[in-house]
Amino acid sequence: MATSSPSAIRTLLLVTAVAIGAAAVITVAYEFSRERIATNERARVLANLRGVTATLTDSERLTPTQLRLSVIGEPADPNSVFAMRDENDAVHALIYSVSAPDGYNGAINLLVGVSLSGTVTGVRVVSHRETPGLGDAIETGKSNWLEQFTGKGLKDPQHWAVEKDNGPFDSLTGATVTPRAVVAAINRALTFHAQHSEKLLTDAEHGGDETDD
Amino acid sequence: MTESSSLLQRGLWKDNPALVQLLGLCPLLAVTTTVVNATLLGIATMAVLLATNAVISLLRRALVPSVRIPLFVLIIASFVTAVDLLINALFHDLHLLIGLFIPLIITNCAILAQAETVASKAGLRTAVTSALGVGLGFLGALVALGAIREVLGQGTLFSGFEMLFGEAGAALEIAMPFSGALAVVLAPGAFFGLALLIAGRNFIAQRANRSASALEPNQQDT
Repeated sequence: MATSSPSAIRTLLLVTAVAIGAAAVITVAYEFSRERIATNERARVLANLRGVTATLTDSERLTPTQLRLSVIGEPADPNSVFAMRDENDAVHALIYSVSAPDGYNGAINLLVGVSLSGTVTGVRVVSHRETPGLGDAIETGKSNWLEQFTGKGLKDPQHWAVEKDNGPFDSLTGATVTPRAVVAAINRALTFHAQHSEKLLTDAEHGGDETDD
Repeated sequence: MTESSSLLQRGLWKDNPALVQLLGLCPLLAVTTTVVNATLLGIATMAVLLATNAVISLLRRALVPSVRIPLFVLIIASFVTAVDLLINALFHDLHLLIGLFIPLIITNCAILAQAETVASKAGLRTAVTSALGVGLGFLGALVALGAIREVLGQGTLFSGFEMLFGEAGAALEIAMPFSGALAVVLAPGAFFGLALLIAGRNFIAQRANRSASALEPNQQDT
């Protein structure tokens, strides 16, 4: 380290040089990673969307297109909606990205796949902050709790609630708030589907698509 | 004992950043729920340590005392940002799990301490050797704590390595004959686990000390 008292110019030059070097390091890393990170993100979104429709036959050949929610006019409950289409552009299912704000530790973000006949094709948790070991059994990798919703519809069962609230859905041992929030969020997605899915799909047919795959 | 092996030993054992100096505890406690998380954070920290120590050592004659600390932080922060981006690009699934804690490497005092006490005063060779010792010491503590918590808390060992090594990594997983206690995965498990590691290290160090002082009464080692 320098022992003589350095001039202001020398300090300035040093700091500038180090700052330029630091910017160069970050630029190189950014340029290397940008495409890869974007590809990873897209692959993750696609895997999540396909996972939600995995119970459909040939779900592997379905590709997602994002639908325009603004056509509904009122503030929509889902954050986004995707149509899963086959190669002939026929829609097989709609996927709603919904948020359960009433989780035990904040919002639980879910993807709910709904077939055109209005039954659940699959549910996946995208992100959550539930307690490890208790509420986190809503993750697909940790338990098969979410599978019980597959095939259910808005009218089947009549009472959308967990067993603790006299409904048909299995509760999670030790967690009450989490399953309640998830059940309610899936129900909201189904309700939204029943009310608005036709309008969304009509809009998409008239070129209102925002391609995003 | 040669200079470089004593430098390595210092970081690994005598002045272990996590178990003796108690530096960098925030990421240490937060990510050690599994071995794979701990391994990746340990390697990331070591990469940053090696890079910053090397750069600062090369710059040491040009450094100006009054602005040295901001410069150290700038250099550390840019390497951490680069490492964060690379991990996101190469190990995306793991980044989703521990991504939150990678930027925290910037605040790991072990790195700033190395910059200030070693790299800014010593040549490249010494700086890099010292960084290697401290980095391995930190990685070792992370992996040890990760192993304790994964075995006792989750009932597995080396699970999730497919996120690091691709499909082949899945074969590393060893299932335990029990399911694990939740408390070990949660924050208390981290603190108790770390306490056990520190106690274990102290126990071994004291025993080694006693037998050493029995042979050479004059030698003092803490």
